[in-house]
Amino acid sequence: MPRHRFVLTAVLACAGVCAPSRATAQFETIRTSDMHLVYTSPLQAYMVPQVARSFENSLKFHCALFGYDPGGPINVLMHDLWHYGNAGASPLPENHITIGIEPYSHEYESAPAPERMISSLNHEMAHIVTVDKATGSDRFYRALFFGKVTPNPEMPLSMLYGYLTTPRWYAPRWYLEGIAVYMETWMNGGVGRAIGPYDEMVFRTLVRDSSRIFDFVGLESEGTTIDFQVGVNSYLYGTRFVSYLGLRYGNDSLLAWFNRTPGSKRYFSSQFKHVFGRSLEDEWSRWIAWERQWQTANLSSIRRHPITASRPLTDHALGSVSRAFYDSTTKAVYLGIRYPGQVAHLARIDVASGAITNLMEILGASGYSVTSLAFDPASRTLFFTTNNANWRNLYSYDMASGHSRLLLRNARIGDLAFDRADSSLWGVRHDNGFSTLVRLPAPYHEWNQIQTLPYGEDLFDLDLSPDGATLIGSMSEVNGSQKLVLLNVAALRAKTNPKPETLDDFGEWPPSNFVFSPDGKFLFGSSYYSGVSNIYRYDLTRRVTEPLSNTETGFFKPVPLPGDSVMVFRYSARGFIPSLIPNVVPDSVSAIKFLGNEIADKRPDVQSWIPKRDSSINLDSLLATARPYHSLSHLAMNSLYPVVEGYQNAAGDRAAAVGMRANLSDQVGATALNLTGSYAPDQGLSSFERLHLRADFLSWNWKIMAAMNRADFYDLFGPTKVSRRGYSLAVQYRGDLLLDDPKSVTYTLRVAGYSGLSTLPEFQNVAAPFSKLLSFSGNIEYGSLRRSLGAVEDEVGSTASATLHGNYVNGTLFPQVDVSLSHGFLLPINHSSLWFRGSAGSTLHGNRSNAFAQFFFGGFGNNWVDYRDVKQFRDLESFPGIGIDDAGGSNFGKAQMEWVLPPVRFREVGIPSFYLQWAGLSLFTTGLVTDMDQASLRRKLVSAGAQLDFRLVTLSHLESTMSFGVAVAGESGVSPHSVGMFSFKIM
Amino acid sequence: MKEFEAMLTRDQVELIQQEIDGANTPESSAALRSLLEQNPEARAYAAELRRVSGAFARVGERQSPPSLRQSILNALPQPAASRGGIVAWAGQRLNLVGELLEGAIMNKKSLLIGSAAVAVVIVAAGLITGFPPIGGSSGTIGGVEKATRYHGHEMTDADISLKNPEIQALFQNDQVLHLVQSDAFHQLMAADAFRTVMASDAFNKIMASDAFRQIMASDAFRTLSASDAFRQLNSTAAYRTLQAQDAFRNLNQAEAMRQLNQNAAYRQLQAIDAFRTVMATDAFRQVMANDAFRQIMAQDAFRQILANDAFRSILANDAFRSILATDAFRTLSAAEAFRTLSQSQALSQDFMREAASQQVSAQAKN
Repeated sequence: MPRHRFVLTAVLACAGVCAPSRATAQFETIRTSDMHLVYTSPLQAYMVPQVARSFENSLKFHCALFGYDPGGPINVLMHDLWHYGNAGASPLPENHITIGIEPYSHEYESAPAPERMISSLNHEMAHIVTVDKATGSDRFYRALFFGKVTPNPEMPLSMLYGYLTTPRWYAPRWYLEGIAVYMETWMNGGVGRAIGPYDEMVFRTLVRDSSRIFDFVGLESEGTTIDFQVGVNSYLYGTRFVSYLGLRYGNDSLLAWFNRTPGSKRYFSSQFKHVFGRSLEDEWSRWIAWERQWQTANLSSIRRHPITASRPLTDHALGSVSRAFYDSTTKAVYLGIRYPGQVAHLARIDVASGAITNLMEILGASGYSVTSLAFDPASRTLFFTTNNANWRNLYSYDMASGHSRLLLRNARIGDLAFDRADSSLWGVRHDNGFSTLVRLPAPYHEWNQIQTLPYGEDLFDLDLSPDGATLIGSMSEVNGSQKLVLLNVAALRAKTNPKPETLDDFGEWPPSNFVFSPDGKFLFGSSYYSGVSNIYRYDLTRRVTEPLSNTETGFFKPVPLPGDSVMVFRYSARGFIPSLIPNVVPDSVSAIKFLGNEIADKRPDVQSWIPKRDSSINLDSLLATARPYHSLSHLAMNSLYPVVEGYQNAAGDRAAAVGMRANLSDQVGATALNLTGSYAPDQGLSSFERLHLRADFLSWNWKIMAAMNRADFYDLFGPTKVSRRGYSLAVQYRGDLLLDDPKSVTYTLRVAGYSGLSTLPEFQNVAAPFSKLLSFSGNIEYGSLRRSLGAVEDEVGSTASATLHGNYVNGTLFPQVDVSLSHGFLLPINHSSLWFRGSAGSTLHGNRSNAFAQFFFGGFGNNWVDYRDVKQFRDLESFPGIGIDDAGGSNFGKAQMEWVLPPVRFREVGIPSFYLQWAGLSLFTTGLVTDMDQASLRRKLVSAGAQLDFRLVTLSHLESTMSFGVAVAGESGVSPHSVGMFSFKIM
Repeated sequence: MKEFEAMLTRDQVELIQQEIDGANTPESSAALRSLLEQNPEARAYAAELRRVSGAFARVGERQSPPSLRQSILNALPQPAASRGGIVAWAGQRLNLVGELLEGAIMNKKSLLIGSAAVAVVIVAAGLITGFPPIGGSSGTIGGVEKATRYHGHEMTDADISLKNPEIQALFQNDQVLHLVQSDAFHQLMAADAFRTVMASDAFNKIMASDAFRQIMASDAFRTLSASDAFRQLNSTAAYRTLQAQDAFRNLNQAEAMRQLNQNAAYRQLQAIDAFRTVMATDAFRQVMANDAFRQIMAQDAFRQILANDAFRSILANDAFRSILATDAFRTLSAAEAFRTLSQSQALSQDFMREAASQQVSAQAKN
């Protein structure tokens, strides 16, 4: 379950950029008694029956098994923004499932699944049921707060309210994913990761290599962040632990741990002890001991026959790898790689020396397969895809010049294969739920449909014979089975819909990454036929499949080399290692056992966990109820809760105010209205300043903000104050000119009016010369920021922005313009980067002594307790080492250099509900010149500083940061001045 | 078998077919047993299906020639169109009917009987030639011990419920995509004349008539409309001029025919190779001789629509003509799914609705 808000935001952002007025107008909605479905295009309407039936079947099953009553319809958002099928779920603010409609990825068979909608909804419904089911006390708080409370950084008390209303949501991801995968597997008839060969391989390899199997604090703090499998570890460990519990204690106990029944404990680990009578830590250790035993037995089974020797080509694992190609001209292998510490890139590996050369960065690399890659040996061109999780772009890379070229934007094509006979590219396009075999003739600027497969079928891992006459690939079907198939290219191109010939279906173990030998007589690929991924050779003449390896871990993606060797990728705990094995058939290969099989055998109740097919839904009448979705008309109350705020007037009088906040939003989160009102009974304030009101309205690209005597929770603490006297009304529009992840170009237009001002809206320590102000601004911003696996923040990239800002006061206009640039790059040390930032600005008109005609700088910018970005010293207005707003001028130039040191990860510091995740140090130096055009006013300042941040995680979801900083500032003729900084970012 | 099927609901037919395919759950099988007890048509349909199924089972699996599927598709009857969005295409067909009127008067040929058996052939061909793949090997690999894997309930096609996926599949074709996203298509849909025709009673009567459906479904008609010669003829200036003549619209009147013979455009047309080619085709003669065709000619509604200014405007619409001339249109009109949807008003409307969505999506991406 991806973090749902992020997913939802991404969906809406993509929908927004795809033409706010047109694309969003296409949203449609259908309502049943149990489901409010919104889909992002009428083109998806054909899938509504499948979603509706899968949803109903899954919901009824879960309701019966867990005794769950959703208490109202569950929101479902269906979209087509991802290249592969995926889904997410969240109980906040209402139960919500987001589902992508494309076929699943088949990479490494890491997530076996049958039909995608059934499988996704079986999984996501398990999330909804296990985190939303409430006891009497949960329901009491939901009634008290008018709903389930979503934690909001602006109102930290909402964290507490959130836990009271939805306690089981505050659990580690492995806990949430473990049960969802377990349920999904059995509900799919045994097709799923609970009987997954990839999962067995991961833990078998950890045991074989005597590697660390994370404890569950280490798993969260380190395993899901720096390991090359990152978030997938939550699925791997969660599934394994839950499966172990099911086998050892039976499913009744297992489900009792997840079921929020009366008398159950609120917190997940307390409930564990309540059910199993021992602590979670103890049982986790017992599982690890059991796992070692289980995998040792499997390794013994494999070792009954000689193990295939492999010679590594490189001195370290490469993390995730794409398909690879051998270039006989340079005797090198080309591939895409992605491993922790460095961004994903195309690489060249010299077969003789193992030396790796970074050719170019791959933007938007995918988790396991990095990119889809093809190779034209004649022109020495690599073809690869970017934005691999979304609508893939197709690029070429010319090895001679080292230049890359965009061939097709939003191609949505993967599984590339190059036809040497006519220099065309072949691939599989995913669009609107269909897989289409396509061909791209040179120069690859358009694709032509060859064949569209029926819904539920998918073709992948393509390769073409050297003579271009034959195409092979793996074909998956509705039931999740896969086959190695062969197709005649001439017949395909003649559109005679040739029948795929099945070469081998490997029993029920799928074939993967089969490729032609250079002479076209053999195919080489891998299969988990024995439970372990070994290499197999298919003789096209004799029509016989033979094994080529007996490995303990797993061999994948073979590349036949000249002579008698085959390059393979050997799985290791740190990723895949390119290795050579002989092209020789071993004597015998033994099978291993699967934990999932053991559960099906010893705990047969799982065999009955099959949702019944519900045909009671009248699909025709259901579709007839489809209506355009208008987010405004779906606005509804989410929660209402008490708040505390701080207020400081111009005289420096501080007061605390108490009040209420109401949160309203529509079901997809496109429109929201937040209302806050508080009252400060402090007699030190004038009667006018005791009442504080604020309203924020957001709808798609628009935002309207209104305030009266604005107050803020964080003004209760520290030096930074955002509270302001008077009235304000602002209207803002934010649009996207480009959203091609990670690149974006956005613009923001804003107009605001103020009345009753005593302090400048943007500068807390500068008195407003007039009480009324009209301001406007226009900003355009470019960003392309990336990070490597395991990073704690962006490590590479550039940003640029330009802002035109104007203040209209008392009949005078004070226009200002400023520009900012930044660029950062990774150093050879993993996760260490160097950043350069520069900015300049000037007032274009008006009396330069007027406060409205000036820029002000000073301070770190962090408050003692804060919710904004941790590294405020990077902002335009900050200047560590001097006081807030201490330096000002009508024009300025500013430069900064920052060295980000590699973060230190903490493996076992804390308890499950509260632990330290990492610490990071930044060293920086800043220079500032103000009033550059007037020597008498000019100031030149420099500063050097450091900031140390500690990331803490509370209740698994809430990330806090404690920051310490120190900076020294100097100015000619003035003694150096040092400033310390402490800040606690709550979430 | 068709008559029994027509007396059953879609769900009942599906229930019976799934039982034959072995895809029913125990509950569904029980429901079927109950249905068979109560419904004689269902019993008859089930018995017939079992007989056919048994016959297929006795036939050995043979590799069909690669060209078979396409040959059969080429032989498919052209679908009848209905009102709604797809009438844009139906309009083209009607245009063709109007154009052929002249030929009908001049070429009194004998009738040819359409082949109703074609539909049966299609069903058989689908079973023989379609996905999923067949053949190949499975089972053991020498020297390798196969790992066991628990298998519970296996999903089948019966677990899939989709609403007209074949329409969506049409949009996976690059040419069709270009067509529906083209300016010409957009202009056509936005044209007042187009909307007027769509709303006219006369037009809708024609579309709804059995005769029209029959002629659209005829093999000869499809062959003729797909011929290059006919398309060439359709795009000639002389032919378009002729269409605008009163005489052309009143061809069933002797006086009109006389006027037409004296018409310069008509004489010009007779000199065009494409015209002569069309006139000489068997397909043309077959259409002319078709009873359904004659019925259409005799309808008042047909005459009304021919005289309808909006309809004439559509026929003369450049966007409409440019669409007809595209390869994409040929691809679309040759698609099996397109022919299916053309026979249903609801499907036609779905197609046009989704074509419009494709346009919006394309605009949004640009």
